Amino acid sequence: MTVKKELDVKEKIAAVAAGAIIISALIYWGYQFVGMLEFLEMAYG
Amino acid sequence: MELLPFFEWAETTFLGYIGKTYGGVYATFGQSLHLMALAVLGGSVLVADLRLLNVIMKDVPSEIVTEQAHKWFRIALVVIICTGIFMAAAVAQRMYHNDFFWAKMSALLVGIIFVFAIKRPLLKGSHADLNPIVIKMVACASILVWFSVAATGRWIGFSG
Repeated sequence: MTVKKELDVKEKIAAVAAGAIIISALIYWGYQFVGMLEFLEMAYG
Repeated sequence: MELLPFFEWAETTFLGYIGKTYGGVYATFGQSLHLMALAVLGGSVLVADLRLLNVIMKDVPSEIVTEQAHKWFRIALVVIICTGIFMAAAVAQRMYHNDFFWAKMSALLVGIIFVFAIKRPLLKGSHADLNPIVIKMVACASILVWFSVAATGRWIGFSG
């Protein structure tokens, strides 16, 4: 695959959407993981 | 918009009645088919996205792998939605008050829009013409969003 310098519109939209999904998923699952740790700490100290 | 009346109505429909009354029908036509379709959907997503990430099937062109996987993805998605509506109708009011149900619906909506409005149009032509970083970002986002659909879906069964 050759690396192009300029992204076309479809690629730009895809990159922005994919980036938004990746960041949102990391925040959501990170939040769930921290919640689980707090719950375990409350339950078992 | 208040959605609770819709969920209350869903439980009174024929689908809701069948699902609530006949556990065997709920387990076979609902849960079993739903989980099998989820396995097919997850498989098609992983095959296509791991190929895009150059992890598996490197000897097969990614255009062929993604095209073939998408056919099964569409079939699995239709089965998932049909069996999902049947299952949700039986316990609609419980679903309305379940945070993970709404998390799953949000992830499902994002996943469907992402696949049909962004991923498919992008990957329809030759992948050699696309920026490899964008392809890999799309593959990672796709895996994450469908993982979220599956995980929050299973979480419904283990919460309130």
